[in-house]
Amino acid sequence: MDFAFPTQFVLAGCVAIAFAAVVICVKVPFRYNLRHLLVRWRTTLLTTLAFTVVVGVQTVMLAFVKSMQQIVARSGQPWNVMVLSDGATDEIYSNLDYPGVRNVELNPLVLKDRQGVSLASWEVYVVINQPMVSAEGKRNRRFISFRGLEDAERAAAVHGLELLPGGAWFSATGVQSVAASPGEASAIQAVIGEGCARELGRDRGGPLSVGDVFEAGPRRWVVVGVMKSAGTTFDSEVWANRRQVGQTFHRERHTTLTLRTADAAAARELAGDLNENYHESPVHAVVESDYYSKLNDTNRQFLGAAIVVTVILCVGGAFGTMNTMFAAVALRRREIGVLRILGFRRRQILASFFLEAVVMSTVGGVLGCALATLVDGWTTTSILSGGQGAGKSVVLRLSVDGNVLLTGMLIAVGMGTFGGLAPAVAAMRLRPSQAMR
Amino acid sequence: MLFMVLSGLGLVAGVALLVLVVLPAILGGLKVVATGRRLRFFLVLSQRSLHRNPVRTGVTACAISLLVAVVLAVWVVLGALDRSTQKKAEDMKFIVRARYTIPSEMPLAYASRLERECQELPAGLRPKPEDTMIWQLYMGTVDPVRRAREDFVVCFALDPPKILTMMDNLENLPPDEDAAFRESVARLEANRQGVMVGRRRLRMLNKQVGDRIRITGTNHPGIDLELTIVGLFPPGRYEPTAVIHRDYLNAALDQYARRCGVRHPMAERTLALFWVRVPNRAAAELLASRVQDPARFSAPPLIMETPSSGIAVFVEGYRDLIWAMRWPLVSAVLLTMVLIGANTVSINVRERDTEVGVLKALGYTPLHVATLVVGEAVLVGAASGLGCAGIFYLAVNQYLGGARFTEPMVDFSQLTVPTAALWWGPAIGAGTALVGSIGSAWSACRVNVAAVLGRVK
Repeated sequence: MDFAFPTQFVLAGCVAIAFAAVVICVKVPFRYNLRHLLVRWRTTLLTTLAFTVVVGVQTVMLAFVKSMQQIVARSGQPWNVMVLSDGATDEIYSNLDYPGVRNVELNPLVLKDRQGVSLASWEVYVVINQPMVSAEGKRNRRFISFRGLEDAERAAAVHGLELLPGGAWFSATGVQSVAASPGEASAIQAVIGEGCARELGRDRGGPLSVGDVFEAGPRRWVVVGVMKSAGTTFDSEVWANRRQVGQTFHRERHTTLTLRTADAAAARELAGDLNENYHESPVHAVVESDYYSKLNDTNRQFLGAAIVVTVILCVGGAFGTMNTMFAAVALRRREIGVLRILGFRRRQILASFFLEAVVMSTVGGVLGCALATLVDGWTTTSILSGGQGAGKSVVLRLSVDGNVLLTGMLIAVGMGTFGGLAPAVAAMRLRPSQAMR
Repeated sequence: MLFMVLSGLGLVAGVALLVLVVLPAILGGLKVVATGRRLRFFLVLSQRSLHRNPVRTGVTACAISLLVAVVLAVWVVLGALDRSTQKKAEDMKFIVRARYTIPSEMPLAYASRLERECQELPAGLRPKPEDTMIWQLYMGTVDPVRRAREDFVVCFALDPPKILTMMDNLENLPPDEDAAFRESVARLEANRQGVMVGRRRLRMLNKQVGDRIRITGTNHPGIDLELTIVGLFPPGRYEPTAVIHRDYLNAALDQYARRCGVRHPMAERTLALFWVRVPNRAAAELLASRVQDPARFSAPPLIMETPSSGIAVFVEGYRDLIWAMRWPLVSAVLLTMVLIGANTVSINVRERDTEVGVLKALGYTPLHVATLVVGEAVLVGAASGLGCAGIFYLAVNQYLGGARFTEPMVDFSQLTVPTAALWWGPAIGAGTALVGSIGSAWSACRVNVAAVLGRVK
């Protein structure tokens, strides 16, 4: 299910047109139905509230899945090529042989900056599990992703990232003194993503900012800059000097070389060329956007789970509507009889009760979607994985956008349709003589 | 998908049958044996009420049962996670891993040093030689071009005899399974290029015992292993697992060094976990203090913890999701159940206000009326919950033989519905029906007898 595709808009348009056509062409006694909903306000309220809760939950779940999809889609640049060691499918398992791979960046397809230096970023990627103690004294653990870089500014240019105002990239040595007392070890300079700043600052009452110090592994780290990285996996990362990261976490070898090319076609050509023709040391070159799209395995699992829960909740909610509408039909047998005697046709009775159910579900859907918009912008942590034993811990920003809301509304209308159809058919089948008895 | 749809239909049909046929029959039976006149009268009313509008009763029961199924599914999964991550006081088995980095990667030389640390513990605290196990992790794919999930294999490289002494849940196997399993281990021990796999892994690979496979290393790039499938793990926990002889992996690493003139980059990081079973808590504390001493192990520093703590590290990545499932999702589903129940009961009460008026005119107190309204709702809720839990229990445990997870690294290979679900289900159904019916019961108590009976013609 791709939420970026305008299927929902097309579908919503079709549904709206279909209902408008029913109201106009079938000449439904719509005011009568609305009055009934108001008179039986308690039943209407309870049914609508049930819809509100169900649609609200579903919309939040869809927003979560969509945020995961967005982070995967935004993280990889189609014009970048990631070079990993041969056989490695994930950065975390890659070990590049520097002497053998260093000539990769000399490939003519790699872009060069004004000084004629290749736009190539040599990196080491490490994930650690850091024990933390919260402000309340509760012990927990937190995943932190570190990316050690040879040249931060070049890496930022390759990945298309920049710093928020007030920050700076780390120095050539990558350390600075923050010692409260002489003799205390200096801290490693770190540039962190916005999501990482929020996550690490969770126990301090606010996101980390420039000058703040945090502990990770055996060292202290001082924030020198915060990246404008929202919506990408880099948002959850700590960037620091490659040598400092390597020594601290015992990963001396590079894991990744990211190369910038002119465009997507050049990136594909470069990846193919390196995989087939680079013989100094075998490498696995992959277009960056392809690499991140393979991290969608977790998304597929979450989407599957969300669909199962959504379907069950929908059927449960539809049964609720069915109950209400069957009761409405039973209570209004005589009224149905009168309508029939007055000349209303069977199809008008059908449309009338059917639309009544749809109105309730639509109102519930609107309220549920409104409720769901409250979580828009909330952050949460999860793991992106390609299902091959590794993954990236990411900070997600929940996005309840138009597509998600529209999907929620379609689900609500679907529930009303499913739940309202059988009672409406029952009402339609009542004969006037039978109904008036 | 088809199985899920059929299960859903089966659940709905089963619950409807239970509430519309079995429950009234039980009430009918109770009516016969009940001694009190008033109790018998209530039973008659409840029984008739269930049949007054079978569609409504059935639809309500189905809605409740589906929602109970969501709550049960969430609780079963989270319960299994909680059990896996709970520290057990009696657990004397520990893992030693790299303190910070995920995945744990340590130099192979640590293996012998850790063995030595164990043997240097004082007598009485010293683990037996068969109580330690070295795990190297080798991952790869059988199709290096396609690299699909089903082609991916995670192999634990270890000393084969340790499978029998150190791996969990392989102790109390049925005699025939145990014999086959021991035979497989013996074959692995005899064949350095052997691999033992779980049954599901074998199906995913589409191979048979005796077949050969070639694995292209992904975490040990450049190390490709030619393996023969020599045996199977018993059904259960080790369904997705593969185990190889660690001597073969280490020989391949040595061969790489000879071939390339440099050591393989993973040679210094190939040790994933060191397992040890100690005789008592004192031994664990002493060994942990030595293992975690930076003066002894610093590159990388180590941590010794229980396997449950190790699993907790994995689960930590999903902390927010688990919280969302445990609290907002379950609360929302319970609230929906309450609303659906409240709606149904309020419709019932509105339709039966004459009956309530007559009851009150006959001398039944408001408490009696409230009991009748709440009792009926609770009966339907409890029966729906019981039906759902029962069908869920039978479908997952008996028919499927446990729900399956494809995560190869963690012990969630088979998840069964606990017997306790057979009371959780009715409790959830009854509890939400109770809450949902209170408002309507209050309305029923306040029915004005004169006004209601005045309408009777």
